[in-house]
Amino acid sequence: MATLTHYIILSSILFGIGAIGFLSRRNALILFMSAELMLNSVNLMLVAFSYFRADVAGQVMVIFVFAVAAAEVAVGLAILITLFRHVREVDVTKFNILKW
Amino acid sequence: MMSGFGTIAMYLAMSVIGVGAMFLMSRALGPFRPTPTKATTYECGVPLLAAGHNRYSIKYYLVAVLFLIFDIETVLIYPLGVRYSSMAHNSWALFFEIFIFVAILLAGLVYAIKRGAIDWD
Amino acid sequence: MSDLGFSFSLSQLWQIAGGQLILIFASLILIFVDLWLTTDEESDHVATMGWLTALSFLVALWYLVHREWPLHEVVLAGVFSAEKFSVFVSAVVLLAGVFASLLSIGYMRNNRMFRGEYFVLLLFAVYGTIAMLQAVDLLMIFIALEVMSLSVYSLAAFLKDSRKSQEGALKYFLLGCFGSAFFLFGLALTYGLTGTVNITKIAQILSVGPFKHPVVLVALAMLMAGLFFKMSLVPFHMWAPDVYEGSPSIITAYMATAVKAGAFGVFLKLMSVAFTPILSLSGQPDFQSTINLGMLAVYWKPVLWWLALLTMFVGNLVAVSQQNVKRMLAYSSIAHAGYMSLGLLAANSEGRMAVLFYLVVYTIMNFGAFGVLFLIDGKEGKAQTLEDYRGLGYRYPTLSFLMSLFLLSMAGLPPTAGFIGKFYLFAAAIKQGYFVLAALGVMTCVIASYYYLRVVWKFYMEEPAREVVAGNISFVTMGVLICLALGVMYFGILPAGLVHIANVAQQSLAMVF
Repeated sequence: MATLTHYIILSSILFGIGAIGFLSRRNALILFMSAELMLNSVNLMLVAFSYFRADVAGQVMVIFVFAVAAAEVAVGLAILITLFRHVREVDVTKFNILKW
Repeated sequence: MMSGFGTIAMYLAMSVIGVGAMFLMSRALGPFRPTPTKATTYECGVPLLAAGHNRYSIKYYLVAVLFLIFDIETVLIYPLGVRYSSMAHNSWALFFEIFIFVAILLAGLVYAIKRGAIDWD
Repeated sequence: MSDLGFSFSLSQLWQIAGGQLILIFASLILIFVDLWLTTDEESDHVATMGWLTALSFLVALWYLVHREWPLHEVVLAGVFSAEKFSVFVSAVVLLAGVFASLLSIGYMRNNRMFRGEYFVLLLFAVYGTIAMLQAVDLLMIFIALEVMSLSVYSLAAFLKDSRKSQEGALKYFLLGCFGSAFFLFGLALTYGLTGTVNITKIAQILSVGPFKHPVVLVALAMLMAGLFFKMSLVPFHMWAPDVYEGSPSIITAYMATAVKAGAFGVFLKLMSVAFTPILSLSGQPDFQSTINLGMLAVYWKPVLWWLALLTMFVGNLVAVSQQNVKRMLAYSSIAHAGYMSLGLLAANSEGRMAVLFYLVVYTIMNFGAFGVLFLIDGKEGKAQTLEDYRGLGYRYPTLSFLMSLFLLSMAGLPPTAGFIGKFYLFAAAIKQGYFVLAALGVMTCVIASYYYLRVVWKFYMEEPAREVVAGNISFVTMGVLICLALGVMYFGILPAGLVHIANVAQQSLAMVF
């Protein structure tokens, strides 16, 4: 039987994978996916809390987080595409004209 | 509990060993003589017409983003639909609220269309 | 939050969230005004949009200041509150919005960037910041934070032909998402621990309950990390110089002031309400067990101590080595966040008052400096280096005088408002016993005056290196800049009125919320 602790650990691990992926990968799209993974791991945790506390508020929050994540995707991809027109590259180490 | 895990462990071990054995056997028994013809995409001599990574028009991106926004709109409206009948005491207030929500999104859609987000020329 | 059947009347909605409603209506109308105007002469179109935006900010500002707000909570459906503190910071943000929209008219003319949706995005950004400040619900804070951030990301990327602008915006966007994911994780943990996301209820539950386990600390650390990204304190500042340099100058000023004001306001609210033992009106602890929450300060204060120190040092030291004036101002705005976190660290009434006072002063002088910067620039990026500033004091006496005044105020020299603001911040830190930090902070101020005064030196003491042609200086831009200069002088000489208002506003936080 999966308990609340299991869910917290699972979502913390997912959050950690997202954070590590964000810090170690170089492809801007993958950074983006990692950030989304972090948001979704939090969603998992919210649903688990909602279930174990028998409180529907957690699930409502998940829906709001979905909406926020979708808005982030729309804006983020737009910025990436306009940048791609200048650089022709999605490797973040190439986005380097701004330094120190 | 333990027996359940034992079964799973057995299953995992079997599948790993079985798949591994098949891989090794195919390596050992099958001939491995690559030629340039075999390395092509269709492996049978049909020449390629173009690269597989087609570039799509940027228009698709705008449509995809619009789709995404209205997809999420559904997610936000759906719970209201499920619970609407049990909230009869202030149903008109709820209807009005969701109406405002849809109206704002609709304003956004009208703006996007007027700006030419789905013009194909 | 568990009871979903909130009900409130429309008049209540207007009473508490009226400022937000005005901004929402204004932005929905202005989107279509923009569509309707696009066929007109482009330059006039931008001016009309700019004036309409400024007008809607002024209406919202009038709504906020024309009546007396209660000192503590008037809460709408457990989500928004209207009390003196949030109204004060919202007014600062609206003021920044007014400056930004008026200065943007001149900026867009100089850069030949005639896009009306710029102003609509600015309205959304201000709306998000105000909603974030008025929210008393962690989820609403998160959503409003995202509304604000997403609009500001788009504004930062507004110079389509500039690779710098796009690059800065992408970095801002990616790190902003990273930061808000941390905030959300903290939110989820807090919800799991307490079963609520309302900050007053969180304080009540945490005050009573036996929360000895470290999950509270993890939740607090995550929430704080998310806000530190927006406040650009040092280990979380990586995006700031890049995006400040790349963005349109006015947006840089907006990000450095209003976005920061929002983040500092929310931080103050979280730290003084949700994670502080609840005090009753008489100032005594309200619940029997306050020891756990009181203990939390033992953990977060040392963290903030080091962050404040690092922020002041890194911001100021790196600014010294900059040749580009815009980037120098970017690092200096990081350093200013460090000074303001002294007030957060002190966490007494003087400290909170000093932060609020400094937010106003900082908004005024920062908009002034960036306003002059974009005028000297002409077209974005044409004349931004220190070399370009040589000898400008004789060619453009008014602009140089204004820039010198704003820079002297940022450096914190006596007759200006910057001096008074810094004085209160350091005094608050010393009163709370942070002598070492205050002494080191004053030392960084000395470093800071070097690079601010270097610009003034270039203006008046060196021969021009090359011909610099400033952009077209319109009547509106000049009017705004002169108002800002008068503000810097006024709050420097007669600060008592603003100090009184800030002091009353901060009392909201010490009350039962």
